[in-house]
Amino acid sequence: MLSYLVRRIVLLVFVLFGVSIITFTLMHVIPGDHARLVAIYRWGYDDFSSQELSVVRREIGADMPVWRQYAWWLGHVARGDLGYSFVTKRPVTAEILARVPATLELAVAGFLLTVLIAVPLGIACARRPSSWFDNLVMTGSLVGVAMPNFWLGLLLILIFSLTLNLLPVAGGGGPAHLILPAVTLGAGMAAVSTRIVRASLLEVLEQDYITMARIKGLGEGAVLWRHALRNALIPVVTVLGLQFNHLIGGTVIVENVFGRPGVGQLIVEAIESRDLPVLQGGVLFLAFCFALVNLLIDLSYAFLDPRIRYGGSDG
Amino acid sequence: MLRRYLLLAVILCGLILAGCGKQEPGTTTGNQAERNADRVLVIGERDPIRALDNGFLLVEKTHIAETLLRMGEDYRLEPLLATSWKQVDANTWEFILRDGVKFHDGSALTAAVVVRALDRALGDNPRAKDLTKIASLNAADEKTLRVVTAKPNMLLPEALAGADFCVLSPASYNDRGELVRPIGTGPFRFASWDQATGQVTVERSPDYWGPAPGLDKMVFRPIPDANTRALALEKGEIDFTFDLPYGEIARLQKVPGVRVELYAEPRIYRLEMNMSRATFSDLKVRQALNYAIDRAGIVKSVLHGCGEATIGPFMHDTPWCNEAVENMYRYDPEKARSLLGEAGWVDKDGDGIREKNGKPFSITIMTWASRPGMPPMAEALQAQFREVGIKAQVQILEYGAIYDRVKQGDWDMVLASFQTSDPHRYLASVYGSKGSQNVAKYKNKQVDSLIDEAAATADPDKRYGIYREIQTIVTKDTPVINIACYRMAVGMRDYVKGFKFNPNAHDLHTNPEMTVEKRP
Amino acid sequence: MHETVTVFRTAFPLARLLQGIGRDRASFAGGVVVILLVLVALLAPWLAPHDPVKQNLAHALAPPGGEYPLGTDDMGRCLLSRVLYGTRISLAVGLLVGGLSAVAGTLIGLIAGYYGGFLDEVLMRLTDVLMGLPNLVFILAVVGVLGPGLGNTILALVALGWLHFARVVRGSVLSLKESEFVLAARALGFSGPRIMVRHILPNVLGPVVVLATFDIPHTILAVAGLSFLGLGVQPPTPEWGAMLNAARPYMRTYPLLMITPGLMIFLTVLAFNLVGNGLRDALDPRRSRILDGVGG
Repeated sequence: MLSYLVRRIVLLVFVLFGVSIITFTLMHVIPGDHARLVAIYRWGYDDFSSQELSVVRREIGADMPVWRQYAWWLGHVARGDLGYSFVTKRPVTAEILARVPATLELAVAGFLLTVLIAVPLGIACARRPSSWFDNLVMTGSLVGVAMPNFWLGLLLILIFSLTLNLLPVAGGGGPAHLILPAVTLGAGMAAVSTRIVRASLLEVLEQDYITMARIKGLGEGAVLWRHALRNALIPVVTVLGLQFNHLIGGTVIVENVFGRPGVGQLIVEAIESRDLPVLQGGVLFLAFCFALVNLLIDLSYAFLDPRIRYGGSDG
Repeated sequence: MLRRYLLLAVILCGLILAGCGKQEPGTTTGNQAERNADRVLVIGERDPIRALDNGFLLVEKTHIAETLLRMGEDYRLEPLLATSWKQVDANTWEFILRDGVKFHDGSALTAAVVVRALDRALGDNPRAKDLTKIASLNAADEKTLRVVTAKPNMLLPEALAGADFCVLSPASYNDRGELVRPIGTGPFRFASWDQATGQVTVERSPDYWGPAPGLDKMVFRPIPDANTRALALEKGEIDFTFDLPYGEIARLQKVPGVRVELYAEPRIYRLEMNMSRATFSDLKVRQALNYAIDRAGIVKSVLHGCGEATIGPFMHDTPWCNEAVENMYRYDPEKARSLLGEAGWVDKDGDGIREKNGKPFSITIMTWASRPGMPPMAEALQAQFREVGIKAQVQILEYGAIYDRVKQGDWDMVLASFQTSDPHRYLASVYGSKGSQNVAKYKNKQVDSLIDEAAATADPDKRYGIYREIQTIVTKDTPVINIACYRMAVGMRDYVKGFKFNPNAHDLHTNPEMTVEKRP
Repeated sequence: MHETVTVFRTAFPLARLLQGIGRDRASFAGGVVVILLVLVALLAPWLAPHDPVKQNLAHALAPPGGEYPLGTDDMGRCLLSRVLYGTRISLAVGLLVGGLSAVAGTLIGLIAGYYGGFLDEVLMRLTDVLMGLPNLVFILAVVGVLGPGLGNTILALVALGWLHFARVVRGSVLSLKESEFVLAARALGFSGPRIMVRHILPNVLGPVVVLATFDIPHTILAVAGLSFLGLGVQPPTPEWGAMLNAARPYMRTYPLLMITPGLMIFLTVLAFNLVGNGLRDALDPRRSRILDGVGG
């Protein structure tokens, strides 16, 4: 268990290291002098001297060879210092943290919705495969998977806000503001997840120990709950791990559709205003969250299934 | 195990609810009752509020801070924090401060505090020094501010009326000099700023020196998307907003409880060109582009009538506008084609795009999206240029990003919108060879000397005559192409009263006299 | 000698895949729609009543009917023509990205799996890192730095697209490497590249085709999403996501502008997913882990 944990954390560090190299490289493929760009944003185009430029160069570490620049930058990142926004001149870390609540709210709500839809429907379908209900749900999930979330969001606004006048349209705010974005985000993920919950349950139900349980005379409900479901939860968690990728991508789109001031919207705004430090910081931040959640999901296997003991063998 | 899973779900639910719980009062429709009790105005802001350190936000929008003087609607200076001012000698000015003015934290307005505030404004902005030519500032006594300029500057009082020179208490800043809590002298005091949403709330200052404002509270809620602003207004989530999408105006005017007011304002949609590039340094090409633009069609379809086609830069009813230039470039694509042919741009390979010296006429039009008419206008221009054999690409970027590229010389065209209210300032900055908005780097000695001549001419009618002469020259030379005069679409619920549009202020301003009158 | 080797080679199961599709009604329907979309893309110039980028401001926002069967957009461009031409762009980008990713991923997977060792280790750690980034965030980073536009979007999509192919192919190669026919071919002294291409490649083509089929709708969705954010295909190019974005101000007054392109994205993605499902089930009725988590 402990060695597994260590290995996962080593992998996490490795991935983050790679991610940091990618983002650092991206920022340095831009033509032109990075220090000059910072100076232009700070003082205006013609309003700085070469002396001020060299101050900036030292300040952002651009006077060193590239590999040392990277180490220097990484040192700052490790201390939570992501530099300053070109546009607002405030620390990037503060800009990001200010946007986290809106994104977190949306992501958690969308994720919960996914679980609340996918798990019960997946179970119901697996109990009676190929029944009319199963077919209906599976057809619905095909639709859900193919539905572009940005289009779904607009349709929901058109129907529920504009035509039926039930829910608000704009920005962040109370729970009412969260309903449509959460549905938009959760629908596609629920569609995929339902299929996977169903499939993994079906696979488990075919296995020998379930047949044994049935022979022992356990009721169908007991078989499902006490044996099958417990083991099927592992793929469920895996799926939710896989869905986390979609979750992050989805929040970017949904925040844009509904004008929610989240991290995704911050990144889109940073691209429009060429605010590179914010772009870099936002990307790094989301990648970090992604890696962390993946680690947590891996670890949760160990808790969910006591038979799994992560030992020496290659896992 | 399942239990653990459910527990997780419950915890997550709790998190969501906790997250939803913290919202500011007065922001949603649910708080209608509270909004009725207090006179609260919720304003749908067009631009995101990413920082408080912004004179326009502090002075013309939230009315937290005030300047020494104010530019009135008739272009005359009015006293504000300074009750009188005079020029002592060529380079020295004295401003007498108003008695009994207190900052929102109770401290008194003194000349020493004003010196610190103006020093900060000069230090923050390198152009402020150019504009004011201030060499030093000092407090002659408790209530007298003395300003010494490096060169004589007759326009110093006008410059100090600019919002960047607003007076904030030194207590507004932390030890690193960052603005943390704006403390001014205005009719409203700062209440809160949500960094995430950018929402700013101000409340009536109980001991304001002037007339009490008509509202108890103003909430500035950024909704950068014009369409969302229109919907929020329609649904009553906001009470007041600017720059409605033009396609929605006709419909909104019919919505009960909503009022849309259109204000012609001194602001121009113009196409700037990089005359440092050979393509645009050719006068024939610039004139051809002028003929290629169907201004009336753009106003009708892109702006939905919310604007006025124009060839000169000024509103047509101003005394300095030269109406004669309006006949210079009537829409004539045929003429545009022949001018381009004369300039050597011919489509040799038959792909519909003209070439010269083997290079196709292919350009990029950059524009920004916060003004709702600009992206579609750029797209319309793109198609109209295509009709005469010019290939254009449209690129939507933010204002700052666009002018960074302009300053680096890496650009073809920018579709822009700028205020034209002060004819002298506008002509000098756009067409004067040293003008700050002269991105084309246009140089015409005759124009320069006419600008100088106008500056030295006291008689307004004579001066306006010179402005008209300049318009004739620059319209012929056309370093920028004017397209239409702006019209601001202001939307409000019908209970909002007292809004006064000041064409000399920034067009997204509010005024402290505004109020709400709702039936209980 | 050569005769014997050919016997060992397993044929690419194209016939089996097509049969599978034919048997499943849903994927058959999907296949029909895909064929129709391809036809629309090819025949767009003849089907479209107007030039899709030609503005006619005098006819802006015309209602459906008459000269403009679906009406016009805010620039007076024929909506139907734009939607039809949009098929070209979406399919072309989908096929291009799917194809490039498949070729690059298969090649890398073959090499990594067959030769193993240090090269394999490096390539697999690279996939770890790239998979450690959320897809859209990676695309945003690339587009944000290199600038919005279709070219950079395709670049970013291919940079991510090859990962799945490489992993799946590598996995297959690892198991095939020990199979009798490869061992036999090796014993006969055939070169590595020859064994990879003639003996291993045909056996991994099945999963590769299935993956590619799912990659097309993924790409179409990603490009449309990015264009919707204003960062992908730029106007006036008739790309469905960009059209949706442009239709936002007219959502209420001219909902057709928003409904039509969205519907086209939805139908296209659905059709490709159905075909992909059919292919996968035909190839792998018991759904081995290889294609887990792929598609719907």
